[in-house]
Amino acid sequence: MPAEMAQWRFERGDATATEIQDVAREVLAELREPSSEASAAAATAGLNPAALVDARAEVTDGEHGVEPILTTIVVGIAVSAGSKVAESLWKDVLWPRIRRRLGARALGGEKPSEKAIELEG
Amino acid sequence: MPAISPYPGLEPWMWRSLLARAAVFHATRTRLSQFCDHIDKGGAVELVLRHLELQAREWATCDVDDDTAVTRVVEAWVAQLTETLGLRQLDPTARQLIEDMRDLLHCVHSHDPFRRIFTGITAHASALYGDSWRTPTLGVAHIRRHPRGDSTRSDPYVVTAMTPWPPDIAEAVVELYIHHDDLYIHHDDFGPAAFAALPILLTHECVCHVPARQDRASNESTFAEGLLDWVAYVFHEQWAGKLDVELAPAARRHAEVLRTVLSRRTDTAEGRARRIGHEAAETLRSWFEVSCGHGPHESKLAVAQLGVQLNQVDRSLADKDHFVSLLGWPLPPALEEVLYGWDEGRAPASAVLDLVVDRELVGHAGRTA
Repeated sequence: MPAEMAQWRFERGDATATEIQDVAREVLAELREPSSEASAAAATAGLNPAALVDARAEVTDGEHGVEPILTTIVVGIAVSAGSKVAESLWKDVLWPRIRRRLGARALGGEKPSEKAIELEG
Repeated sequence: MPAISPYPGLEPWMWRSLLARAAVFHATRTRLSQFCDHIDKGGAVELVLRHLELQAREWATCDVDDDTAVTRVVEAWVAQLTETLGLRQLDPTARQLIEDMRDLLHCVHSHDPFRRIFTGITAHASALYGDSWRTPTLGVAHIRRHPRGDSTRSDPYVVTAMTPWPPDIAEAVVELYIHHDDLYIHHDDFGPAAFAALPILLTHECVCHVPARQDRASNESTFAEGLLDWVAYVFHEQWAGKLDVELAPAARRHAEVLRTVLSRRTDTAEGRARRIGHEAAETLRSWFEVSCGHGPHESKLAVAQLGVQLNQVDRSLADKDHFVSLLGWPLPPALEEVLYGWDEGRAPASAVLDLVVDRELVGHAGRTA
């Protein structure tokens, strides 16, 4: 089954796309360890950790600009279990840990109209 | 025992680093104002504050419980204070301050100082708002930059707070944000001034936002962030002594300094909203004095009472902001009539908002941000 890439666009906050991506990938790696805090959070959110083994996170700059503060951060989560799982994975597992590690303002406000889901082959 | 953070927004080591410092500031709260004055001058007192930061971070990652970590930080800091007191070239007032603080450190404990302040404020705000009160939960998280991007020399208040909107019908979350750098950057300026400003920050959230009934939130609202902020200061002034009589002098002083710092920010929409709302509140206060014959203090309380009542009326924020825009000399006669009625107990606060939606009665012209 092709993995769906759910995407969210945010105003840039205090952290760079690379920093956010690094933490997201660390948390995804923790999910492979059943006794990890991230796995417990996933289970609490009703996610089956086994369904998350292929999850990927891509965090990129939405565009380049002279003023970095004006640019957008695009968060993409790909998981074969579907977009609902991707959304919960982001909201309930990844973002709380990114926030704790990089600060409450690591990302700015979400840009609501730009949410999109892409199918990957 | 490894550190455990009671707040999901803080890494355990960050929690402990903040806890140790806040515990010291709480224990020395009767000297916080002098502490801040000396820090501004630099010299030995600023150095001992930096030493406290270093010790708090050093013990934050150690494999001990919170009580032990706080105790170890205090022991190390007492040793540093004692060493500093051994200097021959120490300003006499700084020497006295350091001696006083060292004496006060005999009663440091590791109870959550943030929750202690928050719980006291929510008790007062709950009594103020009655049935409109939402039960709030405190969250503490860190931010990597100064909340206003300023230098801590000109703005030592490296803390801010927010209430996410919309809240639940009966519950709300108040989030306190504290600037805290990464583990290996040993300088983030969570100092005594920021600690002393916590009561006004949390009072603002509890008076202005936790019980609010309106359609949306806006940092540019002259009502929610302006007039009600003025009201929050009135209640902070009233509650400070009851919350903690020993912290009250520093809390009141730093609330006023923070107000000045924030009022300078007229280059932002939030800053303009605050200034306009504060001016409107003062205009209304003067109106109560001149038109209703109340004394200055009674008039201040009348504005505060009206603000609290309007905050409970479930009406659009635009209507409430429009009310604020009408509070300039001379007040529209129709608005004066309603205010007389409210003051005499003949009209509810909602009548003020009923009136302001009638643009013909009160006119379109009002002050805007």
